[in-house]
Amino acid sequence: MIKFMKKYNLPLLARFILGAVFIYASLDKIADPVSFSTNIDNYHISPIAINNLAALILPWIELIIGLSLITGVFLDGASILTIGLLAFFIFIITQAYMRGISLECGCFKTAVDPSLGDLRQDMLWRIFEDILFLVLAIIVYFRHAFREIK
Amino acid sequence: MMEKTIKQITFILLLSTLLGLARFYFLKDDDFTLIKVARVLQAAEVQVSDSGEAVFTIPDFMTEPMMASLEFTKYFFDNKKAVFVDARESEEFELSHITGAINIPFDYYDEYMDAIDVLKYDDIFIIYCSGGECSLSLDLADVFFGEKAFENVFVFEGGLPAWQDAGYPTE
Repeated sequence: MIKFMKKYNLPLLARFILGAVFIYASLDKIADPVSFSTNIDNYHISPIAINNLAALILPWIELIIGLSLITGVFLDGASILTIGLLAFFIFIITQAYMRGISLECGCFKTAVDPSLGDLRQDMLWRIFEDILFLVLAIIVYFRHAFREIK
Repeated sequence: MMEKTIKQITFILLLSTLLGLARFYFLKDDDFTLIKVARVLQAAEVQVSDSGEAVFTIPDFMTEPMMASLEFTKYFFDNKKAVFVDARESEEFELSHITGAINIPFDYYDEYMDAIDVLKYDDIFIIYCSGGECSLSLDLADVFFGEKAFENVFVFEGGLPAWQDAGYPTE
């Protein structure tokens, strides 16, 4: 396993995958913070007063993190923020799922996608996806330790 | 090492905040404020008749959808003067809904235009979903009132849970 990871330079691969995902996820939200704010409302986890601010700032954090991961500038800070954000996303989608709220997560697109069949199935998929991304982010943060493994 | 990381995190967060505020500056939407204000619908009025019973009346002219209490909703359920609209998904609707309600899931209301277009614009509509956690009813009420220009649109905020708790009829 370690051999496989070293052969394909997994930390670098993880950086590019996460970077691309975060940049892609940020664009629609930067373009339409109004719809994204409604997405945040639907989670019913934050005081409504701060949801517009979160809708304005969060997508930019995602974009900058994405760029950092790909370019390697501020990599430690970006990977810690990535871990924090993904852990937060996993928590909020899981709590919404447990409370029985069906929601359009607003993960990648802010508008409702009519082709999307079962919202709850989609939520489970998002949780699984975010756990995978979290593992990648942890690999990026511990990339130095990873290199030292013989 | 840790100090450097904290500085990087602080920089990323500050830069994002600045860019977010810049985005706000260039956003052309008067309704979008930095501090979001929760929307509170005005409650429908209740009057007491000579015999002591609550009587609900519909305003002559509404400027936006109004909030319907459990009593208001039951009153119009009993006298059969309102059309009940369930804004949840069809799977949830099939499990249980207020007796006689029609289903127009807000998330896919475009696909239900045929069902919406046969409704009469001057009927009384009481829209509900799953109660406090759910904003589908309010969103659909905006479509009914704004886009479709229906005159009497009410949101039963308690939704199906409040209706079931009161022991009122479902099917």
